[in-house]
Amino acid sequence: MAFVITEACQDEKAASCLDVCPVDCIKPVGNQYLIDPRLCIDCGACETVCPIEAIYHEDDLLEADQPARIMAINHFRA
Amino acid sequence: MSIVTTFKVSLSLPKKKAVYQINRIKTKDYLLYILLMHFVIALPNGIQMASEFIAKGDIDKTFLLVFTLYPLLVILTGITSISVLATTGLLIRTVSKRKLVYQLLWKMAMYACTYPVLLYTTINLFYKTNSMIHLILVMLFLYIFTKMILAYPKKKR
Repeated sequence: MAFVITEACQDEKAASCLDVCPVDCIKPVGNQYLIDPRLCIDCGACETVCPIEAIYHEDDLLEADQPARIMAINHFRA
Repeated sequence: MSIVTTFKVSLSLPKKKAVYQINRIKTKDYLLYILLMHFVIALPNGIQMASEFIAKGDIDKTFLLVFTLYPLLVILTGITSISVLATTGLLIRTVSKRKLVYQLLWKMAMYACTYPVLLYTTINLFYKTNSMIHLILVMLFLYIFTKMILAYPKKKR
C-alpha cells in the first residue's frame, strides 16, 4: 500500500510533498513527481500539503488515476 | 474524517497507525479540533469566572470577559504554547535522526496535547492544579510526543 501522485501534478510540481516526506520517497520523474511505492511508509504527510490535491491513497484512487499508480510501480521497479 | 473520528484518533496516540492517520485529517477538521481543545482547556476557569460575575450581577462584564477577551487570550496562549512544545520536537527530531518538518511537528504537538488537556480540565474542574501536576502533564506530553516522533523511520544517510 502506498500513496500515488496523479496526473494533476504534471507541469505543476509544487514540491510541497518533497519537504514533508519523512523517508524521501518522492522523486522528480519527467514533468511530475512520483512516489516510490517500495519506500513509502503510508504516513500520508504528503496528501494534505499538496496544494492541488494530486496525491491520493492507493485505495482511494479513481479508475482514471490507475495509470499513475502503474506508472510509479513500473518506474521504480526498473 | 469528522471531529469525532479526529478525537478518537488522537486518543489512540502514540500508536503508529494513529500517528500516520493524523496526517490525513483535513485542515477544516484540524482547525475545528484546535478550537475544541481550547474550549476544553478554558472550561474550568470560564465557568468559575462566569459564576463569579453573575453572582456580582455584572452581566456586561461577564459577556465581555468570559465570552470575548478570555477565549481570545486562551487561543493566543494555546497557539504560542503549541509552537513552543513543537520546538522541543526539533530537538527530539535531531537527536533521534528523523526527517520531520516543523509544520508536521506542530500538528503532532497539537494532537499529543489531547490527553494532557483532558486530564488538566478534569483535575481543574474538581480540584486545584499545582506546579507538580503541571510538570506531570508536561512529562506526559513529552512521552506521547517522543513516541510519535519515533514512529517515523530514521532518515537514511
